[in-house]
Amino acid sequence: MSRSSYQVAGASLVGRSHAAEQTPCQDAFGHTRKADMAAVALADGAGSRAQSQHGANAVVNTMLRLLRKDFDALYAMCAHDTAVARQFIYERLMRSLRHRARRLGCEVNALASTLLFAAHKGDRFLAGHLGDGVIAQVGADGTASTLSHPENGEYANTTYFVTDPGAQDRIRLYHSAKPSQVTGFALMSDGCAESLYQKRSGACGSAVGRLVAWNRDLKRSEIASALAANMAQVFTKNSVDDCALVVLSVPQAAPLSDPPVS
Amino acid sequence: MDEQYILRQEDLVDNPTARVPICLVLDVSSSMSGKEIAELNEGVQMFFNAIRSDDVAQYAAEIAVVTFGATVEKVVDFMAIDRQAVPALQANGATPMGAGVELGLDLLEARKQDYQRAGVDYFQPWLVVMTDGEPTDDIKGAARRIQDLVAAKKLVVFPIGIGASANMTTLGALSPNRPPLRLLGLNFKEFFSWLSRSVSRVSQSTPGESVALDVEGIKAWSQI
Repeated sequence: MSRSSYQVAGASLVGRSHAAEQTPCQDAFGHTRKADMAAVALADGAGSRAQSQHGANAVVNTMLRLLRKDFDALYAMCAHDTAVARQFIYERLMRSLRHRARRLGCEVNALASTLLFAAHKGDRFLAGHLGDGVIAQVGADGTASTLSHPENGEYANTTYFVTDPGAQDRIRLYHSAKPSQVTGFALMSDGCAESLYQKRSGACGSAVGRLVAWNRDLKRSEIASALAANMAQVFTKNSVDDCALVVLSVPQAAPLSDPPVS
Repeated sequence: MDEQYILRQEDLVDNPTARVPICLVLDVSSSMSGKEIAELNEGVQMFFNAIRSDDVAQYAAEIAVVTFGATVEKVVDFMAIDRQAVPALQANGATPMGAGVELGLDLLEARKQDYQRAGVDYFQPWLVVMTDGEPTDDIKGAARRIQDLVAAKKLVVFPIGIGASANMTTLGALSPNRPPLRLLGLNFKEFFSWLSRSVSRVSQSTPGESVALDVEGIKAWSQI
Protein backbone atom coordinates (compact mmCIF):
# COMPACT_ATOMS: atom_id res chain seq x y z
CA MET A 1 0.00 0.00 0.00
CA SER A 2 1.20 3.54 -0.59
CA ARG A 3 0.07 6.77 1.04
CA SER A 4 0.05 10.20 -0.51
CA SER A 5 0.97 11.94 2.72
CA TYR A 6 3.82 11.76 5.19
CA GLN A 7 3.37 9.35 8.09
CA VAL A 8 5.26 9.79 11.36
CA ALA A 9 5.22 7.79 14.59
CA GLY A 10 7.46 7.17 17.56
CA ALA A 11 7.71 5.64 21.00
CA SER A 12 10.06 5.52 23.95
CA LEU A 13 10.35 3.51 27.14
CA VAL A 14 12.53 3.78 30.23
CA GLY A 15 15.27 1.15 30.32
CA ARG A 16 15.69 -1.47 33.03
CA SER A 17 18.73 0.22 34.59
CA HIS A 18 16.91 3.53 34.95
CA ALA A 19 13.68 1.85 36.06
CA ALA A 20 15.60 0.13 38.86
CA GLU A 21 17.00 3.48 40.01
CA GLN A 22 13.63 5.20 39.49
CA THR A 23 15.17 7.72 37.14
CA PRO A 24 13.10 8.96 34.21
CA CYS A 25 13.54 7.99 30.58
CA GLN A 26 16.30 10.25 29.26
CA ASP A 27 15.47 9.63 25.60
CA ALA A 28 13.21 12.13 23.86
CA PHE A 29 11.69 12.06 20.40
CA GLY A 30 9.27 14.14 18.35
CA HIS A 31 7.91 14.72 14.90
CA THR A 32 6.25 17.39 12.88
CA ARG A 33 4.56 17.32 9.50
CA LYS A 34 2.89 19.61 7.04
CA ALA A 35 1.34 18.80 3.69
CA ASP A 36 4.67 19.20 1.91
CA MET A 37 7.25 18.23 4.55
CA ALA A 38 7.82 16.16 7.63
CA ALA A 39 10.60 15.89 10.18
CA VAL A 40 11.54 13.57 13.00
CA ALA A 41 14.08 14.13 15.77
CA LEU A 42 15.44 12.13 18.68
CA ALA A 43 17.91 12.84 21.48
CA ASP A 44 19.41 10.66 24.18
CA GLY A 45 20.21 12.42 27.44
CA ALA A 46 23.59 11.67 29.03
CA GLY A 47 23.39 8.94 31.67
CA SER A 48 24.92 10.71 34.65
CA ARG A 49 23.59 14.22 34.02
CA ALA A 50 20.79 14.99 36.41
CA GLN A 51 18.63 17.01 34.02
CA SER A 52 19.55 15.41 30.73
CA GLN A 53 15.98 14.40 29.91
CA HIS A 54 15.16 18.13 29.82
CA GLY A 55 18.16 18.70 27.55
CA ALA A 56 17.01 15.92 25.23
CA ASN A 57 13.54 17.46 25.08
CA ALA A 58 14.92 20.92 24.34
CA VAL A 59 17.16 19.57 21.57
CA VAL A 60 14.29 17.68 19.92
CA ASN A 61 11.84 20.58 20.09
CA THR A 62 14.37 23.14 18.87
CA MET A 63 15.46 20.95 15.98
CA LEU A 64 11.89 20.28 14.89
CA ARG A 65 11.00 23.98 15.01
CA LEU A 66 14.07 24.77 12.96
CA LEU A 67 13.30 22.14 10.34
CA ARG A 68 9.64 23.08 10.11
CA LYS A 69 10.35 26.78 9.72
CA ASP A 70 13.69 26.82 7.91
CA PHE A 71 14.01 23.57 5.96
CA ASP A 72 14.73 25.36 2.69
CA ALA A 73 17.35 27.65 4.21
CA LEU A 74 19.01 24.79 6.07
CA TYR A 75 19.05 22.62 2.99
CA ALA A 76 20.63 25.42 0.97
CA MET A 77 23.23 25.95 3.70
CA CYS A 78 24.08 22.23 3.71
CA ALA A 79 24.37 22.15 -0.04
CA HIS A 80 26.59 25.23 -0.06
CA ASP A 81 28.77 24.85 3.06
CA THR A 82 28.13 22.22 5.70
CA ALA A 83 30.38 24.02 8.23
CA VAL A 84 28.01 27.01 8.13
CA ALA A 85 25.00 24.70 8.52
CA ARG A 86 26.62 22.90 11.47
CA GLN A 87 27.37 26.21 13.18
CA PHE A 88 23.82 27.46 12.54
CA ILE A 89 22.27 24.33 14.07
CA TYR A 90 24.69 24.26 16.97
CA GLU A 91 24.05 27.90 17.92
CA ARG A 92 20.26 27.41 17.85
CA LEU A 93 20.53 24.29 20.02
CA MET A 94 22.90 25.89 22.53
CA ARG A 95 20.72 29.00 22.76
CA SER A 96 17.78 26.77 23.61
CA LEU A 97 19.82 24.74 26.13
CA ARG A 98 21.12 27.88 27.85
CA HIS A 99 17.56 29.15 28.14
CA ARG A 100 16.40 25.80 29.54
CA ALA A 101 19.35 25.72 32.00
CA ARG A 102 18.40 29.18 33.31
CA ARG A 103 14.80 28.06 33.82
CA LEU A 104 15.90 24.89 35.62
CA GLY A 105 18.67 26.62 37.56
CA CYS A 106 21.33 24.18 36.39
CA GLU A 107 24.53 24.18 34.35
CA VAL A 108 24.19 23.71 30.59
CA ASN A 109 26.36 20.58 30.93
CA ALA A 110 23.62 18.99 33.04
CA LEU A 111 21.48 19.00 29.88
CA ALA A 112 23.90 16.99 27.75
CA SER A 113 22.28 14.92 25.02
CA THR A 114 22.90 13.46 21.59
CA LEU A 115 21.06 14.62 18.45
CA LEU A 116 19.49 12.77 15.52
CA PHE A 117 17.12 14.23 12.94
CA ALA A 118 15.76 13.60 9.46
CA ALA A 119 13.46 15.78 7.38
CA HIS A 120 11.94 15.33 3.94
CA LYS A 121 10.39 17.88 1.66
CA GLY A 122 9.42 17.42 -1.95
CA ASP A 123 12.39 15.84 -3.61
CA ARG A 124 14.93 16.52 -0.89
CA PHE A 125 15.95 15.16 2.46
CA LEU A 126 18.16 16.52 5.18
CA ALA A 127 19.50 14.58 8.15
CA GLY A 128 21.92 15.23 10.97
CA HIS A 129 23.57 13.32 13.78
CA LEU A 130 25.77 13.92 16.80
CA GLY A 131 26.81 11.08 19.11
CA ASP A 132 25.47 7.56 19.28
CA GLY A 133 22.22 6.04 18.04
CA VAL A 134 21.54 5.29 14.38
CA ILE A 135 19.81 6.96 11.43
CA ALA A 136 18.51 4.41 8.94
CA GLN A 137 16.98 5.05 5.54
CA VAL A 138 14.71 2.69 3.66
CA GLY A 139 14.90 2.33 -0.10
CA ALA A 140 12.22 1.74 -2.70
CA ASP A 141 12.57 -2.05 -2.29
CA GLY A 142 11.88 -1.77 1.45
CA THR A 143 15.45 -2.55 2.45
CA ALA A 144 16.96 -0.52 5.25
CA SER A 145 20.51 0.80 5.14
CA THR A 146 22.48 2.85 7.61
CA LEU A 147 22.62 6.53 6.75
CA SER A 148 24.51 7.55 9.90
CA HIS A 149 26.41 5.26 12.25
CA PRO A 150 26.86 5.76 16.01
CA GLU A 151 29.91 7.74 17.07
CA ASN A 152 31.20 6.50 20.39
CA GLY A 153 34.53 7.03 22.04
CA GLU A 154 36.72 4.01 22.68
CA TYR A 155 34.49 2.68 25.44
CA ALA A 156 30.93 1.39 25.47
CA ASN A 157 29.76 4.04 27.92
CA THR A 158 31.19 7.04 26.07
CA THR A 159 29.80 9.19 23.28
CA TYR A 160 29.57 12.84 22.22
CA PHE A 161 26.96 15.38 23.27
CA VAL A 162 25.66 18.74 22.04
CA THR A 163 27.11 20.44 25.11
CA ASP A 164 30.65 19.05 24.60
CA PRO A 165 33.42 21.48 23.58
CA GLY A 166 33.75 21.47 19.79
CA ALA A 167 30.41 19.71 19.35
CA GLN A 168 29.57 21.76 16.24
CA ASP A 169 32.42 20.07 14.39
CA ARG A 170 31.05 16.63 15.24
CA ILE A 171 27.58 17.22 13.78
CA ARG A 172 27.32 15.03 10.69
CA LEU A 173 24.95 16.34 8.03
CA TYR A 174 23.45 14.50 5.07
CA HIS A 175 21.38 15.88 2.24
CA SER A 176 20.14 14.53 -1.04
CA ALA A 177 17.61 15.11 -3.77
CA LYS A 178 16.79 11.59 -4.91
CA PRO A 179 13.15 11.05 -3.99
CA SER A 180 12.70 7.72 -5.70
CA GLN A 181 15.44 6.15 -3.62
CA VAL A 182 14.13 6.92 -0.13
CA THR A 183 10.79 5.74 1.20
CA GLY A 184 11.40 6.35 4.87
CA PHE A 185 13.72 6.99 7.79
CA ALA A 186 14.10 5.53 11.25
CA LEU A 187 15.94 7.24 14.09
CA MET A 188 16.86 5.12 17.06
CA SER A 189 18.63 5.68 20.36
CA ASP A 190 21.42 3.27 21.29
CA GLY A 191 18.97 1.23 23.39
CA CYS A 192 16.88 0.36 20.31
CA ALA A 193 19.99 0.06 18.14
CA GLU A 194 20.97 -3.00 20.22
CA SER A 195 18.11 -4.81 18.46
CA LEU A 196 18.14 -3.07 15.09
CA TYR A 197 21.76 -2.30 14.20
CA GLN A 198 24.61 -4.78 13.84
CA LYS A 199 27.66 -3.07 15.33
CA ARG A 200 30.20 -5.37 13.73
CA SER A 201 28.98 -4.86 10.16
CA GLY A 202 27.31 -1.46 10.54
CA ALA A 203 24.16 -2.86 8.88
CA CYS A 204 20.56 -2.47 9.93
CA GLY A 205 18.36 -5.49 10.58
CA SER A 206 15.39 -6.16 8.33
CA ALA A 207 13.13 -5.08 11.21
CA VAL A 208 13.82 -1.45 10.29
CA GLY A 209 12.26 -1.82 6.85
CA ARG A 210 9.32 -3.61 8.46
CA LEU A 211 8.76 -0.77 10.94
CA VAL A 212 8.79 1.87 8.21
CA ALA A 213 6.36 -0.23 6.15
CA TRP A 214 4.01 -0.61 9.13
CA ASN A 215 4.20 3.14 9.68
CA ARG A 216 3.24 3.68 6.05
CA ASP A 217 0.39 1.16 6.02
CA LEU A 218 -1.19 1.16 9.49
CA LYS A 219 -3.55 3.68 11.04
CA ARG A 220 -1.92 6.09 13.47
CA SER A 221 -3.42 4.33 16.50
CA GLU A 222 -2.27 0.96 15.17
CA ILE A 223 1.33 1.99 14.55
CA ALA A 224 1.42 3.69 17.95
CA SER A 225 0.30 0.43 19.57
CA ALA A 226 2.75 -1.61 17.52
CA LEU A 227 5.70 0.59 18.50
CA ALA A 228 4.69 0.62 22.17
CA ALA A 229 4.34 -3.17 22.18
CA ASN A 230 7.75 -3.65 20.57
CA MET A 231 9.30 -1.25 23.07
CA ALA A 232 8.01 -3.35 25.95
CA GLN A 233 8.40 -6.82 24.46
CA VAL A 234 11.48 -6.52 22.26
CA PHE A 235 13.73 -3.49 22.59
CA THR A 236 13.89 -3.10 26.37
CA LYS A 237 14.43 -6.86 26.68
CA ASN A 238 17.62 -6.60 24.61
CA SER A 239 19.08 -3.56 26.36
CA VAL A 240 19.17 -2.18 29.88
CA ASP A 241 19.27 1.36 28.45
CA ASP A 242 16.35 3.66 27.65
CA CYS A 243 14.86 3.02 24.23
CA ALA A 244 13.40 5.47 21.71
CA LEU A 245 12.49 5.12 18.07
CA VAL A 246 10.82 7.47 15.61
CA VAL A 247 9.94 6.68 11.99
CA LEU A 248 9.02 8.78 8.99
CA SER A 249 7.44 7.32 5.85
CA VAL A 250 7.70 9.38 2.69
CA PRO A 251 4.68 9.59 0.38
CA GLN A 252 5.20 7.58 -2.75
CA ALA A 253 2.77 9.65 -4.79
CA ALA A 254 4.02 12.94 -6.22
CA PRO A 255 4.82 15.49 -3.52
CA LEU A 256 1.99 17.87 -2.84
CA SER A 257 3.46 21.30 -3.12
CA ASP A 258 7.14 21.31 -3.63
CA PRO A 259 8.17 24.69 -4.95
CA PRO A 260 9.77 24.65 -8.37
CA VAL A 261 13.49 25.15 -8.47
CA SER A 262 14.40 28.10 -10.63
CA MET B 1 -1.51 -5.96 20.30
CA ASP B 2 -1.78 -8.21 17.28
CA GLU B 3 1.16 -10.63 17.40
CA GLN B 4 1.85 -10.02 13.72
CA TYR B 5 3.12 -6.58 14.69
CA ILE B 6 5.68 -7.86 17.16
CA LEU B 7 9.07 -7.99 15.47
CA ARG B 8 10.38 -11.49 14.87
CA GLN B 9 13.74 -12.61 16.19
CA GLU B 10 15.02 -13.24 12.66
CA ASP B 11 14.39 -9.59 11.76
CA LEU B 12 16.52 -8.38 14.66
CA VAL B 13 20.28 -8.29 15.07
CA ASP B 14 22.33 -9.96 17.76
CA ASN B 15 25.07 -7.81 19.26
CA PRO B 16 27.56 -9.22 21.75
CA THR B 17 27.42 -7.80 25.28
CA ALA B 18 29.94 -5.02 25.92
CA ARG B 19 32.80 -6.45 27.98
CA VAL B 20 34.57 -5.28 31.13
CA PRO B 21 38.09 -6.81 31.09
CA ILE B 22 39.49 -7.25 34.60
CA CYS B 23 42.96 -8.50 35.50
CA LEU B 24 43.73 -9.56 39.07
CA VAL B 25 47.47 -9.30 39.78
CA LEU B 26 48.01 -11.19 43.04
CA ASP B 27 50.97 -11.53 45.37
CA VAL B 28 51.67 -15.21 46.10
CA SER B 29 55.11 -14.68 47.64
CA SER B 30 56.13 -16.84 50.59
CA SER B 31 55.04 -14.16 53.07
CA MET B 32 51.45 -14.83 51.96
CA SER B 33 51.58 -18.43 53.18
CA GLY B 34 49.16 -19.64 55.83
CA LYS B 35 45.92 -17.85 56.54
CA GLU B 36 46.56 -15.07 54.00
CA ILE B 37 46.75 -17.35 50.96
CA ALA B 38 43.79 -19.39 52.20
CA GLU B 39 41.65 -16.26 52.56
CA LEU B 40 42.85 -14.93 49.19
CA ASN B 41 41.87 -18.23 47.53
CA GLU B 42 38.42 -18.09 49.07
CA GLY B 43 38.01 -14.45 48.08
CA VAL B 44 38.97 -15.08 44.45
CA GLN B 45 36.60 -18.06 44.23
CA MET B 46 33.86 -15.92 45.73
CA PHE B 47 34.53 -13.18 43.15
CA PHE B 48 34.11 -15.62 40.27
CA ASN B 49 30.95 -17.07 41.83
CA ALA B 50 29.46 -13.63 42.43
CA ILE B 51 30.07 -12.63 38.80
CA ARG B 52 28.63 -15.93 37.55
CA SER B 53 25.44 -15.35 39.52
CA ASP B 54 24.95 -11.77 38.27
CA ASP B 55 22.47 -11.60 35.37
CA VAL B 56 24.35 -8.87 33.50
CA ALA B 57 27.93 -9.14 34.74
CA GLN B 58 28.23 -12.85 33.87
CA TYR B 59 28.11 -11.91 30.18
CA ALA B 60 30.07 -8.67 30.50
CA ALA B 61 32.93 -9.39 32.90
CA GLU B 62 36.01 -11.14 31.57
CA ILE B 63 38.65 -12.00 34.13
CA ALA B 64 42.32 -12.94 33.93
CA VAL B 65 44.50 -13.74 36.94
CA VAL B 66 48.26 -13.15 37.15
CA THR B 67 50.29 -14.22 40.16
CA PHE B 68 53.73 -13.08 41.22
CA GLY B 69 55.87 -15.12 43.61
CA ALA B 70 58.46 -17.74 42.72
CA THR B 71 57.39 -17.06 39.12
CA VAL B 72 55.24 -14.51 37.32
CA GLU B 73 52.49 -16.33 35.52
CA LYS B 74 49.08 -16.05 33.99
CA VAL B 75 47.08 -18.61 35.95
CA VAL B 76 43.67 -17.75 34.43
CA ASP B 77 43.31 -16.40 30.90
CA PHE B 78 40.44 -14.28 29.56
CA MET B 79 37.49 -16.34 28.35
CA ALA B 80 33.80 -16.80 29.08
CA ILE B 81 33.47 -17.04 32.85
CA ASP B 82 31.43 -20.26 32.76
CA ARG B 83 34.44 -22.00 31.16
CA GLN B 84 36.98 -20.74 33.66
CA ALA B 85 38.42 -22.76 36.53
CA VAL B 86 40.38 -20.99 39.22
CA PRO B 87 43.33 -23.03 40.51
CA ALA B 88 44.23 -23.02 44.20
CA LEU B 89 46.99 -20.43 44.59
CA GLN B 90 50.13 -21.48 46.48
CA ALA B 91 52.45 -19.07 48.28
CA ASN B 92 56.13 -19.31 47.42
CA GLY B 93 59.12 -17.17 46.46
CA ALA B 94 59.84 -13.43 46.23
CA THR B 95 57.65 -10.44 45.26
CA PRO B 96 58.29 -9.51 41.60
CA MET B 97 55.38 -7.10 41.52
CA GLY B 98 56.73 -4.95 38.66
CA ALA B 99 56.85 -7.93 36.30
CA GLY B 100 53.41 -9.08 37.48
CA VAL B 101 51.84 -5.70 36.82
CA GLU B 102 53.53 -5.46 33.39
CA LEU B 103 52.11 -8.88 32.45
CA GLY B 104 48.65 -7.81 33.65
CA LEU B 105 48.81 -4.64 31.54
CA ASP B 106 49.99 -6.64 28.52
CA LEU B 107 47.06 -9.05 28.89
CA LEU B 108 44.53 -6.19 29.15
CA GLU B 109 45.98 -4.50 26.07
CA ALA B 110 45.89 -7.73 24.08
CA ARG B 111 42.30 -8.36 25.14
CA LYS B 112 41.28 -4.89 23.98
CA GLN B 113 42.81 -5.65 20.60
CA ASP B 114 40.83 -8.92 20.47
CA TYR B 115 37.63 -6.94 21.10
CA GLN B 116 38.50 -4.40 18.42
CA ARG B 117 39.20 -7.15 15.87
CA ALA B 118 35.93 -8.91 16.73
CA GLY B 119 33.83 -5.71 16.78
CA VAL B 120 32.94 -6.16 20.44
CA ASP B 121 32.29 -3.04 22.54
CA TYR B 122 34.14 -2.77 25.84
CA PHE B 123 34.44 -0.64 28.93
CA GLN B 124 37.64 0.72 30.52
CA PRO B 125 39.83 -2.20 31.63
CA TRP B 126 40.34 -2.77 35.35
CA LEU B 127 43.59 -3.77 37.03
CA VAL B 128 43.56 -5.00 40.64
CA VAL B 129 46.94 -5.36 42.35
CA MET B 130 47.11 -7.04 45.77
CA THR B 131 50.30 -7.39 47.80
CA ASP B 132 51.35 -7.87 51.41
CA GLY B 133 54.87 -6.56 51.15
CA GLU B 134 57.56 -4.81 49.21
CA PRO B 135 58.38 -5.45 45.54
CA THR B 136 61.64 -7.29 44.97
CA ASP B 137 61.96 -5.97 41.42
CA ASP B 138 61.82 -2.56 39.78
CA ILE B 139 58.27 -1.22 39.45
CA LYS B 140 59.17 2.07 37.72
CA GLY B 141 58.26 0.81 34.25
CA ALA B 142 54.94 -0.59 35.45
CA ALA B 143 54.18 2.60 37.38
CA ARG B 144 54.90 4.75 34.32
CA ARG B 145 52.62 2.66 32.13
CA ILE B 146 49.82 2.87 34.70
CA GLN B 147 50.22 6.63 35.08
CA ASP B 148 50.03 7.13 31.30
CA LEU B 149 46.98 4.88 30.95
CA VAL B 150 45.12 6.40 33.90
CA ALA B 151 45.87 9.94 32.68
CA ALA B 152 44.40 9.01 29.29
CA LYS B 153 41.37 7.45 31.04
CA LYS B 154 42.28 4.07 29.58
CA LEU B 155 42.58 2.12 32.83
CA VAL B 156 40.95 1.84 36.23
CA VAL B 157 43.43 0.60 38.83
CA PHE B 158 42.89 -0.67 42.37
CA PRO B 159 46.14 -1.28 44.32
CA ILE B 160 45.33 -3.01 47.62
CA GLY B 161 47.72 -3.57 50.51
CA ILE B 162 47.35 -6.69 52.67
CA GLY B 163 48.42 -6.49 56.31
CA ALA B 164 50.73 -4.11 58.13
CA SER B 165 53.83 -4.98 56.08
CA ALA B 166 52.42 -3.80 52.75
CA ASN B 167 54.40 -0.77 51.59
CA MET B 168 51.65 1.71 50.82
CA THR B 169 54.10 4.31 49.53
CA THR B 170 55.34 1.92 46.86
CA LEU B 171 51.77 0.90 46.03
CA GLY B 172 50.96 4.60 45.70
CA ALA B 173 53.21 4.73 42.62
CA LEU B 174 50.68 2.40 40.95
CA SER B 175 47.69 4.54 41.92
CA PRO B 176 47.89 8.00 40.33
CA ASN B 177 44.31 9.12 41.01
CA ARG B 178 43.56 7.90 44.51
CA PRO B 179 45.59 6.62 47.44
CA PRO B 180 45.97 2.83 47.60
CA LEU B 181 43.77 1.13 50.17
CA ARG B 182 44.79 -1.33 52.88
CA LEU B 183 42.64 -4.39 53.42
CA LEU B 184 40.92 -4.44 56.79
CA GLY B 185 42.36 -7.56 58.44
CA LEU B 186 41.89 -10.42 55.97
CA ASN B 187 38.56 -9.22 54.60
CA PHE B 188 39.23 -10.62 51.13
CA LYS B 189 35.65 -11.82 50.77
CA GLU B 190 34.27 -8.37 51.55
CA PHE B 191 36.67 -6.83 49.02
CA PHE B 192 35.81 -9.26 46.23
CA SER B 193 32.10 -8.90 46.99
CA TRP B 194 32.47 -5.12 46.61
CA LEU B 195 34.49 -5.62 43.43
CA SER B 196 31.86 -7.85 41.83
CA ARG B 197 29.12 -5.33 42.65
CA SER B 198 31.22 -2.56 41.14
CA VAL B 199 31.80 -4.58 37.96
CA SER B 200 28.08 -5.23 37.74
CA ARG B 201 27.31 -1.51 38.00
CA VAL B 202 29.83 -0.59 35.33
CA SER B 203 28.60 -3.29 32.97
CA GLN B 204 25.13 -1.70 33.09
CA SER B 205 26.32 1.87 32.60
CA THR B 206 25.17 3.77 29.55
CA PRO B 207 26.84 6.47 27.42
CA GLY B 208 27.62 9.58 29.42
CA GLU B 209 27.25 7.75 32.70
CA SER B 210 30.26 7.92 35.00
CA VAL B 211 29.92 5.20 37.61
CA ALA B 212 30.88 6.46 41.06
CA LEU B 213 32.61 3.99 43.35
CA ASP B 214 30.54 2.70 46.23
CA VAL B 215 32.50 4.48 48.96
CA GLU B 216 30.25 3.20 51.75
CA GLY B 217 30.88 -0.34 50.53
CA ILE B 218 34.65 0.21 50.72
CA LYS B 219 34.36 0.64 54.47
CA ALA B 220 33.47 -3.05 54.80
CA TRP B 221 36.91 -4.15 53.63
CA SER B 222 39.32 -1.24 53.89
CA GLN B 223 41.01 0.81 56.55
CA ILE B 224 40.07 4.19 55.09
